[in-house]
Amino acid sequence: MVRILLAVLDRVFKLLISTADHRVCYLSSPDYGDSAYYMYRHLAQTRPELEHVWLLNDDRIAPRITAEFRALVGATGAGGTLRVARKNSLRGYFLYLTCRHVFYTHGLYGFSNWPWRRQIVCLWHGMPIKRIGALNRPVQRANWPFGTLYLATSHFFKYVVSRAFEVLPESVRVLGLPRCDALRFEDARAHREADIRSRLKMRETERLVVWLPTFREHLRVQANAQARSFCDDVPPEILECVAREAAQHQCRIIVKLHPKDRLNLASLPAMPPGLEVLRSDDWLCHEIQLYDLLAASAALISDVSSVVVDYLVTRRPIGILGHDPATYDRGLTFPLETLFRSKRVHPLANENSIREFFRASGAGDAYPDDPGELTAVWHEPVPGKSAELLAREVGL
Amino acid sequence: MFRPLIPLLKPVDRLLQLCLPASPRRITYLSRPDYCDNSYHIYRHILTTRNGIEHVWPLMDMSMAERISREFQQLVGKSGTTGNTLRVVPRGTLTAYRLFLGSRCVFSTHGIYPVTDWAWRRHFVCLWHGMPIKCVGRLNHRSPRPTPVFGSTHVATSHFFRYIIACSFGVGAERVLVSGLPRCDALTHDAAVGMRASEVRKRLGIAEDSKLVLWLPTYRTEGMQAVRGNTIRSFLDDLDRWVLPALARHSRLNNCTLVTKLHPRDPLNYHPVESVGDSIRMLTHREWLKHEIHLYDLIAASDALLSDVSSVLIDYLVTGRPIGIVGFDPETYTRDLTFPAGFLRSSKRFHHLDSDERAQDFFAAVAAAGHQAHPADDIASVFYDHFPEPSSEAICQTVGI
Repeated sequence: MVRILLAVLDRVFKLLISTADHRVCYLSSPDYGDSAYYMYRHLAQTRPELEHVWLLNDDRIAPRITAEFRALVGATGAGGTLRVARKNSLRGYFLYLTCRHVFYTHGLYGFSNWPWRRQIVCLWHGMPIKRIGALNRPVQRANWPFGTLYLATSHFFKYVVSRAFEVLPESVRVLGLPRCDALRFEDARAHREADIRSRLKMRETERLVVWLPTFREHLRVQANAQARSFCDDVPPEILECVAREAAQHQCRIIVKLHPKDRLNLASLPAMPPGLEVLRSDDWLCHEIQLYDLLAASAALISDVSSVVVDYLVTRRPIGILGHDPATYDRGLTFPLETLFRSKRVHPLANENSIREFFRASGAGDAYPDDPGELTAVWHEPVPGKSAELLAREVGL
Repeated sequence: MFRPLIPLLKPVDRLLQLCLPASPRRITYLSRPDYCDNSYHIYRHILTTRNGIEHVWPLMDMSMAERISREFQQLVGKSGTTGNTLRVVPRGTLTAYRLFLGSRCVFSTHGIYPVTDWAWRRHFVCLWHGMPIKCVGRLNHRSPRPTPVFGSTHVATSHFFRYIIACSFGVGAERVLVSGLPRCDALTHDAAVGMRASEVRKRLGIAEDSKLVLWLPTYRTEGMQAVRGNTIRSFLDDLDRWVLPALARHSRLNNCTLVTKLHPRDPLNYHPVESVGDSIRMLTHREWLKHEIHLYDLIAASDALLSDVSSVLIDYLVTGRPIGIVGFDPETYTRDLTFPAGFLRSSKRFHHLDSDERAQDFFAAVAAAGHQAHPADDIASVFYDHFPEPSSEAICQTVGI
């Protein structure tokens, strides 16, 4: 009832409040990250006339955003203005209403599902390997993320996103994701590789392998100490083997926990030496954007996270570890075995596959971009930066 | 004339579905042309593996009725199933519609009655006529169908096509069964082949020692309509001048017989065709029907395939035999494709016959081998998933037959 009332009021406000053409709103979860951040960064660098509005769930990050904005426009000589507001405040909501363009990953006002002269771009937080939205039956809610435009990294995902959010395929554009620009273009990154290595106190000779496990159980159960974590799906002997081979091949593994992983709130289990686990709070202290970290890495380990799809553009080795279909309660949009057919993807199931993965990671291998290779199904090449293509698409 | 009444008849159809009981022992099959494609192959499977089913074939053209009855007796005799009965009725009659409503399961290739867009205690399985390379249904904005195709269940050959089918027909992905196509059972399971290769060759007069290369081009302009309006455009118009002589020459040199079977909608079926050379045999739809061969039995008997943007390209992947693409230019093609043309262009599974040299390579591959090993990470591998059991059986089990 409250939602319906708010939806009606939202429509009335949208009719009454005029939008400013040059005001652009950004929202992401966690704050100031993901594709919304890279879209913002690109626009701030290339469109000096814009006024940027960041809506935040936690405004403690506001001083950092302001400082980084000054540094960004100072470095590029671009102009532009910045406003930062709490999302759940009247000021934040009315700023949102006055923006002609909105770029968000998820967590926009749930009642605001009518655009009226506004471009609301749902960037989403990655291409779904696991079932989401309407694909995730029977776990289902009524309102999917709203947008006038959605993004996909390939035609396959265009149709998946269309069915997941129950929108027409025409409203899903195959432009890639702005966050993947950081993996393809050096000037899209906020931090250089040397800077990242120095912040992480890495030795010159070490290769960085980033391990990004997804969360297992939903937020409502994550505080429970019994809730599953990625560690529960990796046998101890495999974990030992990973640490051993990493050391053997001069690789340093950084495990960055998903913000919803229960280990963010619980005590960490014993890890073999050489595996460094970063909780969300520890990660924030480093003030590094995740895709800058990935750009600086030699290889990725994950399970069924969308980052696997993104990382395909780097042509570097990808290890799949810790996905147990027997305990994973959500289905996948396609069988993982299809992904394993690509030479770039290593299922880390035994000692040999783990050794081969770290050999390739240690050697800094990048697989050739063979025409006709399977990976184009998930990530098609796009001409130029995704952020720029998207900006043009929405008339910025 | 009938189309404006459709919105008025839809509620009547719903009411009738609620009132009329649907028999679990009655199955209706619809296809275009009659008695072919996926509907025929699932019918054949059910008839040879299940007992006590009443099979209903509503037909556009009743001249096919005698053949269907004859083949029904043969199939029952061969398989030893019992209690199966057959009814063949004209499609546009009330009797056909009543039998359709009285069936628990309906299998169709091009959709069912346009007034039916709701299923009450019935399975309307849209098998469709192949996986869409060109945009169909709701994805086809160039030449949209006036009446959308309805199915309570749809089928796809892979997870890749599952979402394309879901978007094409505007349904949730959970309503698309990744089962493969019944017609492809004839390419993967011996038991699903209706006619042995030797018999197919005999009927078409093809020597046993000759390689059979089948050319299945799609249609460009619509049949008689194009002939009357003098807007004939066929696959021949999309071929460079060198193509036909080169195909004939390489075919002859490699001891191949090149058989072109026209699409039923191709205007060349109704229009005299200039000679395409002695080494290329062209079968019009009428000639084809006289041979009484089912298309996928012919495809199963072939050694290689040539086509353009037909869905048969996807089906043929399961055979592992050489596939050639000829007469397709994405630059001039007027329909949108469901995925980038580059997928087909870059895959190593397809020979692109865009030069004499490549045509030579294709025929050399045909002459050299049957099944070829292909890279596992080829992009075309996502078009057809691997299914250990016949697709017809998987579909039957899903709908409770």
